[in-house]
Amino acid sequence: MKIIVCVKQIAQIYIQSGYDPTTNAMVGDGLVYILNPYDEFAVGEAIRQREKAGGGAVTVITLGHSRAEDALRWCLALGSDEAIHVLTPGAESLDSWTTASILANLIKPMEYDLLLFGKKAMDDEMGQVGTFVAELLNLPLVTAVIDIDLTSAGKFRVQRALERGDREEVTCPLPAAFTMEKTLTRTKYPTLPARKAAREMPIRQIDTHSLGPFPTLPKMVTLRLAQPKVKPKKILAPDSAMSDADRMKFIMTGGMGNKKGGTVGGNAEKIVSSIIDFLKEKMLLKAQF
Amino acid sequence: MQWNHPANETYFGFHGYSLMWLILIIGLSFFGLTMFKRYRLIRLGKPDPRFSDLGRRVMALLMDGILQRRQPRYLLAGIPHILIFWGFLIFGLHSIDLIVGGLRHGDTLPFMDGFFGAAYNSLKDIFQLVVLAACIVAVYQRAVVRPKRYQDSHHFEAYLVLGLIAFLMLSDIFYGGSKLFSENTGPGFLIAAQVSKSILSATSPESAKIINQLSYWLHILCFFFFLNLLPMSKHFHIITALPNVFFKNLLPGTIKPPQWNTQDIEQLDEAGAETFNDFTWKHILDFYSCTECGRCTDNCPANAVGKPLSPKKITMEIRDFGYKHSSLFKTNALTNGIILGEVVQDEAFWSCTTCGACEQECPVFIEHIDKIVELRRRRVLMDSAFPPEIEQIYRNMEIYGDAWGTGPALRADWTRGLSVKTAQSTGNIDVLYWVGCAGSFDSRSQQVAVSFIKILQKAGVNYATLGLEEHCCGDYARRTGNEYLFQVLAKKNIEILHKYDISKIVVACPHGYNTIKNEYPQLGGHFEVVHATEFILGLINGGRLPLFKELKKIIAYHDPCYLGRHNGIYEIPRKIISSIPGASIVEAERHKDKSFCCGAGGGHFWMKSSGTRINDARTAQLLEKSPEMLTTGCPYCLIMLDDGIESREMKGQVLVKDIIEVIADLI
Repeated sequence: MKIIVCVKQIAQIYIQSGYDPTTNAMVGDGLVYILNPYDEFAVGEAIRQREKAGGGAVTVITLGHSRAEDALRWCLALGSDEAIHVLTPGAESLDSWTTASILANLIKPMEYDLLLFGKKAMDDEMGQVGTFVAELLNLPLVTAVIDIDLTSAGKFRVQRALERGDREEVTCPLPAAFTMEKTLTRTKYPTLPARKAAREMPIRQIDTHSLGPFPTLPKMVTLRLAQPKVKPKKILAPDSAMSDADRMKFIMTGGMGNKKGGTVGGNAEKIVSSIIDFLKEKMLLKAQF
Repeated sequence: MQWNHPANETYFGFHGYSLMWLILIIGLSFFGLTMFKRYRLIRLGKPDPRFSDLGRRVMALLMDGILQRRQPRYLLAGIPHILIFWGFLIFGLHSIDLIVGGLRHGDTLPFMDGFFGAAYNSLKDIFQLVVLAACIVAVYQRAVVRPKRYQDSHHFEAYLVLGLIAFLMLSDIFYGGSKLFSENTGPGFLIAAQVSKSILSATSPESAKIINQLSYWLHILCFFFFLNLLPMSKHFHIITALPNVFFKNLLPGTIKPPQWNTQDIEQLDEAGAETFNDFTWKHILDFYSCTECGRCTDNCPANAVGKPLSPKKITMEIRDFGYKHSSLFKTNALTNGIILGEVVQDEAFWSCTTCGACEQECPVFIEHIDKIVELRRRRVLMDSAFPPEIEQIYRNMEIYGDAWGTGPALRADWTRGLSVKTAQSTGNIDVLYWVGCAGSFDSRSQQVAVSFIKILQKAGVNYATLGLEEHCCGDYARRTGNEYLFQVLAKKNIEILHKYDISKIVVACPHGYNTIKNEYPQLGGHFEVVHATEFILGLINGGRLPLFKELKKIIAYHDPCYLGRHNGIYEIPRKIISSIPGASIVEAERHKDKSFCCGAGGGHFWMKSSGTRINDARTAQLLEKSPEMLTTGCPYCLIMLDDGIESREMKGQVLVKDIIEVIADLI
């Protein structure tokens, strides 16, 4: 089975700020780039489908800065067969429609049975590129898929996760496009030979402009992007029952978070019985203890 | 009355001389065949450079091979063994004398007639009685005392060998004694011979003559039988132990690189050990040298809490596998001889904390840790099959540069308000303070790092940290078998250290200390590295850190594995504690090089554990003498002991502190 996966490299999204002693100031920079986690689920699913079909190829494509090559190498180490890098220095400033148009132009002449995307990128949370590409290529689309299977009649049968553990099943013909949610099965940690092969594999590089024509005017314009105010961790007032030395240490290290509700300590037995008491108190237990 | 030498008599038409040649040729031939099989097996092993530093090796051979420094650590077994070993060294010449005597129609070796012969034979006789007594003690140990560490041994073999040694002694003693009937005055004063002579004087001279001949031939036969038994049993160590000590590992605390002729893992297609011949020739020599004494397993912390790890069993079973599948003609049976998962189970080698207690105890210097890491390397780098909780740690280290996954932006948050200098903004520093991931991200260890800064600033040290550019040292990656990730991290760190022209580094974490000091040189990073305790003692001794307050506490010090056993730093932390006014030290029974691991090493800080925990066992040991405070010199030991105290609900009753904190509170 031939599968194409579109992936995106994003900047580390959880940490907004930290203290840099060199400049004695707060830094607001992510400093770390990762493969979008949903895209990694998509790559994992693609590899699984290739194995299940007993053959084929997984091609990963990214549209991005030159440093996005690291993300492609990781996908190759996970087991992808081929990688294509659409070199786009200003990728962050393109809107979803333009990105999708470029990708659709690249993918249109290619042969494939399955086209996968992550359901959304965790940096801008748009979740639109997969849908737009499917529309431009006139493919059936199912979003937020967790599992892919083939029916005996040769159609795709996919599962989506709904609320409260319900599952929805959708069938559609080949070729089709899916955006991937956290899948049921995961990729294996890359082996040493896989890393070596990934390092040595040539990546096809394509200039964005050679993939025209694509719209130059964006369908969506960002008016303003506001970063959160870069602020240090909240320092809690130290307990006056502590000794001087402990209080100074508390302040200097920023203290420990004191969530409302208290924490339980002690050994394993004590913790378990405290949790059970808490659950009883909140009347969350059906059974009698 | 002069008897003929037994080799000059005729037995059933055969002259003793030809009998001797027959025994010699048959005995040596079979021995040669077995030795050839063993040689072919060891040739299968991978390369391993062990010929450097010949001077140190000869010294090791003398101190640990001949003088057997490690043996007395178990007194009841150790002393008899030393005596039997020295006896064997002494008997060597005598055995040759007996055999050659048979081949030379009764003439002994030329130099055995005069004073040397007299002195030598007197000594030999004394030792024969000593060795006999030692054998009796050894049998008592094995049959009556039955130490737990002898479990899984080949007991029959052990008794057989003790019996053979005793028989060799007795047969020679009676040969010597019966000879005195014939020659009356032997050279020197032969005490054993005198004893047996007096026993024999109860019999007739004809019987004495028969005993003379019988004891001679039985001795010779027993000798060659024993010789042939050696390479087929655990007593192969008699031949291989001294070479094994000579070839011992001279680099403390290091794990072997994936291959000795290629340091860079990016050039390799394979790593780790799956089959017998994935091990190096030295490892195979290790397997040959195991005496099944069990001292390794007896001191293994994982084994002590019931984990399925026994270094002795691993060594024995791989050796037995090798013997079973090796033949004279083909050794290809072994290229498919799978050790990983078949002979050695995953639960066994994943339980190891790499504490080094096994390697510390082994009298023949068998290296267990390298083999365990090699098995792990295969699982991680080739099979992608390892405890699942480790995968997230690997991803965190690779992407964020630390096991916690917190990220470089937050690495220096703990320094806020402390005016900590960084190498990026300060040139010409005297020493770099390598904080380590624990000190940077763990809230308890951050307190220790803050204390160390206080010490550095109070003493006016010209220091700096690497600020946000420090990456995980890679110790856990390496010890859990992910050599690839280790090298990625190490190379990055070395590059950064070179960028800022760093030459001297002080580290508070023994894991970081060990890795940067002993393992980074494998990848081109050569730095002068000291541990925080070494540094602090230097400051105290140099008068730069006067201790103003006193601390009236009874303190127990826990020796971290990577500071103590792997790097030999035992006295320095104790000297620091002794220099504290008011403080007194109590030692746990297991201390210094017998210290018991806290349980965090070898990746176990991040792995799930079930059943009894190693840190609980260690905390109980430290509390035996009722100290008021536990101290240590490692952030991971600190966390493990803290946890141990808390699960005993003794928090507040017994304080748990790093030595750095203790000192920082007193300046």
